[in-house]
Amino acid sequence: MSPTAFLAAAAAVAVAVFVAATTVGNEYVYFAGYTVLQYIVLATAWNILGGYTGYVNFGSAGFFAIGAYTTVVIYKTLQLPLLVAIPLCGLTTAILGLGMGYLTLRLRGVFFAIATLAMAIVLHTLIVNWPFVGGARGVYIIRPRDVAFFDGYMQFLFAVMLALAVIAVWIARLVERSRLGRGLAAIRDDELAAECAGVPTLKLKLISTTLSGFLMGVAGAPFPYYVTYVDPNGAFNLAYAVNSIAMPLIGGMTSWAGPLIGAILLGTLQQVATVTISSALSLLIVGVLLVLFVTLAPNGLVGLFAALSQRRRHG
Amino acid sequence: MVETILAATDIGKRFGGFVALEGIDFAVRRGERVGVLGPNGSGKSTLVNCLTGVLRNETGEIVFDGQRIDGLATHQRIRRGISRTFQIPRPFASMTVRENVEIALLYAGRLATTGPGVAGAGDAAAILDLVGLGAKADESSGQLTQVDLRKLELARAMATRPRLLIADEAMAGLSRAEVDEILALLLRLNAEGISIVMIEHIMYAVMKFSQRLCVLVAGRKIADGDPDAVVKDPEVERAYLGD
Ligand SMILES: Nc1ncnc2c1ncn2[C@@H]1O[C@H](COP(=O)(O)OP(=O)(O)OP(=O)(O)O)[C@@H](O)[C@H]1O
Ligand SMILES: [Mg+2]
Repeated sequence: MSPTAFLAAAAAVAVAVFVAATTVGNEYVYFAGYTVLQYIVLATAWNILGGYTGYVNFGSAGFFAIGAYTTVVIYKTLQLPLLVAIPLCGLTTAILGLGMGYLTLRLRGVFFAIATLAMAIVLHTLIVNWPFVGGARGVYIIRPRDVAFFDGYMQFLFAVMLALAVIAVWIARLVERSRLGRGLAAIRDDELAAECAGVPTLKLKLISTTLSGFLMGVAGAPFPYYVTYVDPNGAFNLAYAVNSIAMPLIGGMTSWAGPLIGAILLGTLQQVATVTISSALSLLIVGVLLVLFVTLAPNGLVGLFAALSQRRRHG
Repeated sequence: MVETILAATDIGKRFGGFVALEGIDFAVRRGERVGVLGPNGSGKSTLVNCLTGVLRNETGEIVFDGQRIDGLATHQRIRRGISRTFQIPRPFASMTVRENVEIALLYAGRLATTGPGVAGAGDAAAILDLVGLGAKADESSGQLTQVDLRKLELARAMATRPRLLIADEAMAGLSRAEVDEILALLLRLNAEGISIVMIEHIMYAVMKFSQRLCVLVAGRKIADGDPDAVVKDPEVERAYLGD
């Protein structure tokens, strides 16, 4: 399928999802659906660096939060509409990703992961100590009363996140099948061998951290309007870091479908668990599933399906 | 047209206090076949690493095709036409054999549109056929046998369209028939104009292949010249062959 055809198909699915959500006609569907969609963007973003390039980022919550806080800053200064703020949030975290890439160039494996975690902690501390955006107390955001074409602001946010999810998955698929994606896969398999095959590994890694950062910031951009009250503990929540790793891992890390499937499954499961049991338990479920998949199906669901269909073909 | 394709002078490299290379002069003429001998740990792979930029030499300079390259990153040197294989094969294990070769074609091979190359090897399939991996193009490279992994190393190196190919023990652990196979392949590539440096312990292969022979011992070059003369050199016999 050509990239354009894929985008059209994805958009058609998104429209169908939106129509289905409106027929339920319950505000809660938008609330829960938004979270799942947000995780599709976040997991897809993480996977460009983690899955395609092989660099595990533990700092997703930092990128997500900086995306959200960029919206807060824009809200308090320029007061631009959300749809204009989103690309600016992405730009901010793209620069953050580029900076992280530069600072961690020589780090690999676990050292890279630790550096990303440290960066998220530093960012958290900075935000806590920045009164303009509410510091540790947090900040309230007032949603616009109504938006054109939509039946309430929550429905609008849902539609925005749906569109962002389509764009994120489309970009991931584009990268995956491009020369860039092939180069990233070579880096993931063996960085030195990649360099010796002519792959400019440094440049490609920076593109990867930048693009991944961009999409993570985009995922966090509408967050202040979603929660209407942003504080560092909410924005830098552990759940973002854990889920953005767990979802691609459970879905499968080598293709765009992996994070998508993982986010839909885990995201929905957590929503159900949060409502029926408790939110603490929902993170526990993620942990247990993570352990199960890492030990039993390290290539995720996509890998599992591929292995099964191959076995069937070979009789 | 420069007569020498590679001229490395006074190359020195230390690991901490350990001198791995010292004062190495190493040159390759266009179209030449050079053998490099040396005991284990004598610095052969370290020299390859310095020439390709995987390691940075601390002294000396490297000129390739008339231009200094010792400031360049590895991928830039590869794109200019130096290629190497790894002594311990390093396949892109998640990819098929064909995809391994395609990476090199995509990122380095395509740039070299002129100059000597594999005749008719316009794509991965042709290169794989040449090394005898054609039938395994769609197999996962992680599953290959040792022999096939060495062939894949050569295929990937060739896909970068090199003008100088450095084969770092491409035949280690192979049977006599397989050694002959690789030897024939290297000779064929050379006949098409590619200069080749062969690092090898297998004397038979080195002697059959080399037009010139260099010997490294403990990071120093102790001999360089006609292969028959070099192996009879008393210093070489004492340091390397006599043990
Ligand atoms: N990255 C490194 N760090 C520290 N020491 C190194 C490094 N690479 C090589 N050495 C040391 O430098 C010396 C030369 O190693 P090198 O691999 O160049 O030898 P070689 O001639 O290729 O040997 P072999 O025939 O076993 O392949 C060895 O003593 C080795 O332990
Ligand atoms: Mg060696």
